[in-house]
Amino acid sequence: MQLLLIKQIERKLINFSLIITIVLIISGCSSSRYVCFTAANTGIPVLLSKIDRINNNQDPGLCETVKYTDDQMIYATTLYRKRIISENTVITHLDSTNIDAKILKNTLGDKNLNVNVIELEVNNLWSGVYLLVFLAKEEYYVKMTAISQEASDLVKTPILNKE
Amino acid sequence: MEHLCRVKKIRKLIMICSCFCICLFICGCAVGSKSFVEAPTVLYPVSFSGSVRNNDGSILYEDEFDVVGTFYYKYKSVHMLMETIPLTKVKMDISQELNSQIKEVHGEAIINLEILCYKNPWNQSSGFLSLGILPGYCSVEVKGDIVRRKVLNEEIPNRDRG
Repeated sequence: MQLLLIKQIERKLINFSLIITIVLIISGCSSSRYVCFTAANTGIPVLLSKIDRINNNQDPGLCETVKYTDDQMIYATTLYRKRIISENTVITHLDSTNIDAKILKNTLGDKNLNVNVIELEVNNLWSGVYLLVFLAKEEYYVKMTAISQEASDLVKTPILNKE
Repeated sequence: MEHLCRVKKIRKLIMICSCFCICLFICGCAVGSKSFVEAPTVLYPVSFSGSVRNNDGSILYEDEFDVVGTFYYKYKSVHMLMETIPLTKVKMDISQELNSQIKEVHGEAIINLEILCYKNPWNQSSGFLSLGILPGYCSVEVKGDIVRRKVLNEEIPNRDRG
């Protein structure tokens, strides 16, 4: 009788782990989600390059990042986070609304300012614990660290340098 | 006797499972990768927004440009053991790619730059089945509009005629 019970428990355990494996693999393969980082509607340049202006002669007008403090920094993230099996906790921004808002909050849309991207991190991570499957978590994000600076302070045009 | 043997086997199984779980806790069972996108030596302005500065410092908006091409670059970053061991470059310098693609279409700047990070099933399957020992990857796509000022575009045909 006891043997039968043990056999039954064994079978149930095997079935359970098989189901979990299948669910995990299917949920991993099923969707082609992504996060998109852009800042389409800020109205001011949000620059990845060190050059902030179009130059007729193709001479670079290099920007120089001046010293900055932490409270001057702009942090914006496009994030997708989901817990497997348990209730989804999804924070997703597939448009630029969130990023635009953060930039505009910091710069107040001042046309004399440029936003210079200092660091742009792209991350894709899956983490979990075998038996506590509901703790398994996937997240992928693009995180920007930037600073806003006055364009005039930043730019040393070659023409001015020559003068 | 047979019953005892069975119990011993189950105990052994439980022990192995416990060790496995402890390993997973220690490893965190995390699989993935990260990358830092940068363009320090690009010769043209590259903006995430729809605007860049003209050579006099004034802001030019999307409608003042002609789109002459699309910038597209895709790469994969690979890491091992919870993103601690990089197997590819951690800092991805896309300057060269930007310069060549802009130059090819005689563009002047890039606007509406987008960085896309895609979910991939490999990280999940690998994380679950290999304790996070196998490497994970991150697929990154960079897109943008290569543009040229409208005024300049109008001047070019006149020059050609001359």
